[in-house]
Amino acid sequence: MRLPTGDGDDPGGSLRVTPAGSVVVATDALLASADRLRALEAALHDDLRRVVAADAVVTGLPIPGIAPRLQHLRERCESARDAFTRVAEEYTRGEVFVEGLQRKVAEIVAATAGPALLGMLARLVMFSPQTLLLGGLLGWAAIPDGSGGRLGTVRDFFLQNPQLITSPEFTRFVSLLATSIDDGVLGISGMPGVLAGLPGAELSPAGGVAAGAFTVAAAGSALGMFRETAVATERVSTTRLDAAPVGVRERLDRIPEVNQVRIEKYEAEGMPPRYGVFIGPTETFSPYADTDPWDLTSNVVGVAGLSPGSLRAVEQAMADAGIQPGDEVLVAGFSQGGLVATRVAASGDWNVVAVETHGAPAGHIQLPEGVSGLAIRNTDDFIPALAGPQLDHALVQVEREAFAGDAPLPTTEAAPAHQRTAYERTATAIDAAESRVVREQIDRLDSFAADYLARPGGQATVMTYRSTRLTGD
Amino acid sequence: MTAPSVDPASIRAGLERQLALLVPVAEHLHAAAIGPSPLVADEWRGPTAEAASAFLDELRARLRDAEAATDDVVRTLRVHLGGMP
Repeated sequence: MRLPTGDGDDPGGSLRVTPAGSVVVATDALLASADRLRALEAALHDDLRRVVAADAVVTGLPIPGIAPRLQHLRERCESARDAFTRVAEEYTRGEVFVEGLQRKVAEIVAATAGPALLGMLARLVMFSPQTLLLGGLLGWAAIPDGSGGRLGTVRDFFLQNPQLITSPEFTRFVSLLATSIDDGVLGISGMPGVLAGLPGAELSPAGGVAAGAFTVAAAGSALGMFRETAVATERVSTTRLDAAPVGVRERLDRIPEVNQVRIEKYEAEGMPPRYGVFIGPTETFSPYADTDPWDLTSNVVGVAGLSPGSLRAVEQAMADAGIQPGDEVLVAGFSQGGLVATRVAASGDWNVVAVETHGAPAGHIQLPEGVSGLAIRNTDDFIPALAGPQLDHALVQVEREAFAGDAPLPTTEAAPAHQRTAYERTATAIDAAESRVVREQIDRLDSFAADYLARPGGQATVMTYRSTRLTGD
Repeated sequence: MTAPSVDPASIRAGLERQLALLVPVAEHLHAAAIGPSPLVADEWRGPTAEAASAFLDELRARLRDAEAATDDVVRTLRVHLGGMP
């Protein structure tokens, strides 16, 4: 199922949109068609009123035949629009049914297999540790020792076979895994597997994702991994800003790398300041906390709902920038930056009114009322699925396959659908979206800063921040 | 018995009022009939694609039919107005 996007160089598929407060998924094109039909209906209604008014002119000619034609046309447009809505609802119902079934099966399997696997591992450790050691060594030795060592061989294998981790099917698998870890824990603690699939049999809200991540963090901690530290954040630069970002792509372009946080302060005469907070993606994937808070530790701890270093760093930067609790804030982030942006918005400590995330593992985080914006994901990018399915519906969800159909996958970068370039193409496609649902959000996000710069005394300042872990703590 | 007298100025005003109301209707129907499709290109296939195509054909035909009916009335109104003193 793919759509020509109009850009011959773009391997991406069609945009799929879930309006805020809804679970019905529709393509942007389908929503745009419904919008156009609604506009035509309104225009035909106007025509009809004119014809009826003309027919009512006492000293004019009788005007037979036109009004029924217009009425029928309008009804036909309305019925076609209803049919589009039904198509979207039926598609969603099918998807939801299949996903729900898969998720229940995965939970039962995890709860049943979890204790069995743990028991087997315990028996091996207690009664035959040499077998475990031998197995591990044999497995490791079986990996060819390339120029980058055996780890390099594993990395190269995934680079050369990106299709293994770049598909909507793999993303679904990761999502199922993310919501099943807590069921494995329940199974280990004695809950029968069949009960794990029951509603409410979860260790944390939103499908048990946070509990699963907490389990991973706790297990890793025993091996020295995922250990949080204090962080220190410093302002690197303060400069004048000439223009507000326009469109999704420009906002994505303002999400920083290296210096992990960028804060734009917008001011206008007689108005309280507004702020745009742009948060960068993961910088290092080592599970052992080093100097950069934008690491795997912050990812796992952040999904677990605890206090990741990157979140604390952003809040330090926000405080340094002078953001007061009542000041209106727009947060935008890519990957881990999107997770942190969502956590900032969900914290209730800041007056976040708009959110834009790209490829963020944040679907399990419930946002407060009054927040709007876009949550953007590539469906063949498994990183957002680490937070399970999208459960919060405060934001408009926009998805598409970054490499649709038979599009060749790059073999030079890991997880190509999660790369910034893939999200840049998706952002460009969203900027060209036609549906009212998406256009309204883009306009709202654009106007957040542009409104201020257009006012008397309108000006903007940009501050960049660099944060490091204090690993000695 | 004599027929009630009709004020020609009133008739002209009525016809002009009708014309003013109907000309924009004819223009809109013409634009809608020849303008961009109300359906944005999507990944429809099979019966859905056929249904969408049939709907578009039907819609355009009905728009042209309504436009023709409105044009007829507009022409008649202009003829009447042209024949008036």
